[in-house]
Order: sequence, then structure tokens, then C-alpha cells
Amino acid sequence: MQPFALRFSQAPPDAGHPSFRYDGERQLNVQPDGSRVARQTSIWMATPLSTSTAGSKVHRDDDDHEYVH
Amino acid sequence: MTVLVLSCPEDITADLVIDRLSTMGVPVLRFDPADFPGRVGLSTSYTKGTITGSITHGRRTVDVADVRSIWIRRPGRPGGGATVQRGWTAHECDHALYGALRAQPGIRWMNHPDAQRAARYKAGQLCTAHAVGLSTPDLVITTVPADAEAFATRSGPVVCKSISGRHPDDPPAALPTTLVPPGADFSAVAHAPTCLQRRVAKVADIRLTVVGDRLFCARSDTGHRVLDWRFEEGVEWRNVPVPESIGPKVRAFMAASGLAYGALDFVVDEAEGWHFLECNPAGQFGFIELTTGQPVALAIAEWLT
Repeated sequence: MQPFALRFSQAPPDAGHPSFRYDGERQLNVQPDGSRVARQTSIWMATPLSTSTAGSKVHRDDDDHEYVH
Repeated sequence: MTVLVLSCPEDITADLVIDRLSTMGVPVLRFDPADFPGRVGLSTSYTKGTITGSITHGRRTVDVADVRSIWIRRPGRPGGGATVQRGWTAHECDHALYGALRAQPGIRWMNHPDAQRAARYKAGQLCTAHAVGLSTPDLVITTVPADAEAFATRSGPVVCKSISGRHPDDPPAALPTTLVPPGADFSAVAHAPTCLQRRVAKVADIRLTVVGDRLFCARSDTGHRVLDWRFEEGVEWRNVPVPESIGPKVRAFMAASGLAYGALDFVVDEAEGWHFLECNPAGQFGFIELTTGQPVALAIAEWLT
């Protein structure tokens, strides 16, 4: 009973374990040394979920988040 | 005046814009509606046609009347922490939070919730795109196997793609746009709506990011070797101008959709004809900005202020 489209599904990319954390005071994600992730391209591009390189990382462009009703 | 950024904490794309807003000296309140109630508090009053009140998150409090603009950047659903009557409580939270914000006159939304929600529907996107003069590949969405097979025979080769854009989550899986092989058995179409689209013989992919009136166009000429660039390594993007024949149509599409932001996907055929595939109203832009230098985050920050 598998839907037709799902025959083309794949295993999801590994979400990985980011090295940064959210700093609520600064309202930004920061590295352990306090530096801003937003200014570190290499870290940023290697991070799946919200970054989306044009590669194997999860690209959630089209994912229709149901945040409003 | 404050800019509200509604986003989950781990969304580092939101960081790109907040970093620029901070540099510009613009007050920002970032919170995830999923944390309301709990870490996020709200208290509003209605008196004689006016909603007054405030939103508190941590040590920050913003008067709802002092909100200049709101960027909806993939937030969680309000009431995410509810433990009793979860559905009802979440619904109450949604109406309390978005109701107060929607009632404020003059707030700029990127994007307004109504427009954002409507724009997620692929069928409507295609009709709007066609109405403004963009080329749109034929598509069928059906639960009738014979109709799917007839479309594939008539319009093939065809690709199969998600209707909503959502990836399966039970269990998690990725669903790239995929070429339907010749002789495919379409009987499983009866088990769920299936979206098939005529495949365009493309030579390039276009990611056109729209921020207000500003268009940022990136092209990948490696795209012809892959069907869905989202799942490929090594796809390269470069800045290209928006063709004069396309720009006004894209602006008309955005206006008709009520969107201030969108990431539009096109494919380019051998004759350099552009074909609209879809508009992602909450589409990613960071990977384009960081690989092409297009100042999308700055444009969003400027639009919000």
C-alpha cells in the first residue's frame, strides 16, 4: 500500500551534531569560543537542516512548515 | 521600533539577518512561538478598537504597538509545550499570539501568514505563474492510476515530486524529484495523491530569490546533469542578470501572491527559455548568499527596517 511517490524516497541525510549553541542573550548561535556562527562560512555551510548547501545536506526549501493556521 | 523574528533557535539562517540588524542598530526580538506559553509570555488588552500589550522573552519585552515588522523564518507552532489538551491549547496560543500581531496596523510581514499559507499550494502557484506570463510545465495530481499513466504516455518523460514539498517523517525520508522510469507500474497512485510533471530538457537551473522589489538571480549550469540539485554534491552557482522578459513577470507573481519574500526555481531549456517550477515562500537563501555573494540577508534586514 505504499504511495507511488515513496518508491523514490531515500534515506535522509545525517543531521549531524552542530558544535554551536544558541545564545539567548545575543539571539544568535555561537561557537564554544563565543564567536558568531553567522560569520563563519565554513561552519555555516557544513551545517545541515537550516543551511542547505547544494549538496547532501538536508535542503528544506519546500518543506511547508505549518507554523501558522 | 522593533523587528520581530519568529524562528526556532537552531535556525542559523535567521542568524544571518539578525547579525545584520544588530550591526544596523535595529532592536530585535527573536523567539520561537513554540515556546509560548512558557519562555515566551504575552499579555494583551482590547479597548475601543485597539489591541495593546506586550510580548516578553527572557529579559526582553516588546510593546506590540512598537513592532515595525515581522520576519517569519520557520518558527515552531505556538503552544508547543502544552501537556494538557495539546491541540486545543496550541490553537488558543495561535489565536492569542498571531491574533494580537495581526491586529496591529502598519506592521510589515515577511511574509504575511495568509499569503505564506496560500503560496504553499503548488496548483495555485502554477496558475498564478501562468497568469503573469511565465512558462509552466504541465502537471497532473491524481489518485487515478490510469490518469497518471495516460499523462506519462502523453507528456513523458515525466518526473514525480512531492505535492506539498514536505519530506516524509514517519520514518524520516528524503523525497527528491525523480524521473519516472519507462514502463512504470502506476497502480500505487491509488494509495495517495501523486504529482507528475512533464520533464523539461534543461541546460541550467535558476534560483531566483526575491526580497521586496529586489531580485537575486543565481544560475547553475551543472544542473542539466542532475534532476534535483538539492540532493547533489558540487553544484555550483553564479550570479546572472534577470532577463528583461522575466523580471516583471516575477514581480507580478509576487504581487499576485502577496509575498514579500520567495525563492523561485526555474529550469532553462536549450533555447534559453525559462520554465517556472515553484516558489518556496520560506526558501533557503544562505547557501546562495555564501556561494555567490548575493547580499540577500542584508536585503531582508533592510526590508524589515
